[in-house]
Amino acid sequence: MEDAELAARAHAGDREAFGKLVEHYAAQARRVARAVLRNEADADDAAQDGFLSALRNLGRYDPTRPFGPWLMRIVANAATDRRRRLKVRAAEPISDLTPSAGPAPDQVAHRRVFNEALEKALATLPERRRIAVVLFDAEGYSHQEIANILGVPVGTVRSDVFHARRVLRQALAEWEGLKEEIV
Amino acid sequence: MKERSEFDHRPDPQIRRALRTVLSGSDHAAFVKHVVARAADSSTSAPAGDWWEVLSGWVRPGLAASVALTAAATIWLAGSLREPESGTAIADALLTIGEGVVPAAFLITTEPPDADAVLELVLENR
Repeated sequence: MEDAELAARAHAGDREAFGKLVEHYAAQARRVARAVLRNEADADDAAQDGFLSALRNLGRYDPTRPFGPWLMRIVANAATDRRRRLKVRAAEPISDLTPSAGPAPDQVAHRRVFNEALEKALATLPERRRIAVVLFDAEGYSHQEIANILGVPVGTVRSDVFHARRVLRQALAEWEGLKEEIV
Repeated sequence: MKERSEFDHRPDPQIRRALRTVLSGSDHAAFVKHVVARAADSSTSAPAGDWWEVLSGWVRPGLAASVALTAAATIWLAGSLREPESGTAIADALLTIGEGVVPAAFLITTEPPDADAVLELVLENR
């Protein structure tokens, strides 16, 4: 069933239709929220807020346009709002298996260190660039769609993605051997 | 990692995998269930429909009503403030009568004019 039809049914009160939309976009929404809020719990709360806000505002959704970008705009705004309201929380606990502690014996340890490195690289990026590169590379949205989501010109999105990728590629290059093993 | 041009605008599958690995949340099913449950709770506790939409539907008629009331109040107030002028309006009318045709009855009588007659004259000349 098309998203537009599910949205129409959800707006009419069909909980199952809403559940299908959540099921389809939950992972994406959580990643976008996580790009804003480094804490997983806060990100999930923001993603939930985004879904509920979308449900309340389904009457304003234009069914002739794709549902994903419309929803992601709401989720990104919900995450940004939450970040502003919250005091800065610590990011997920840093693994104690750092390279300085000696060689990591297993893939789990390597994965943690790899994740740390990528999270640190993401943390160096301004929020909008983080969201842009996640929407572009992780979720597959076009530059134009991302521009609509973020409310900025397309050229700004291209620039944001360009600069974000440079940072991420540098971080990935440092772990190239481990990356192919883990990812 | 394959070298890709800095200007390559196609999504990078390696960055995609890395971001999804780092940013993906755990327990997808629990998350979905929780969202749907919260949606059900909010729909049962709140009135049917988007109450913001209901309120916004009342904004224009409410504004129109308040404007009409304000206008009516202004007109009434202006009218009540003008009432003391009615006395001067009568005086002006009396003076005007003198400039116009004065009934002969007022000219030939030695008695002071009857108030009712004067009033009647004023009203006729309005």
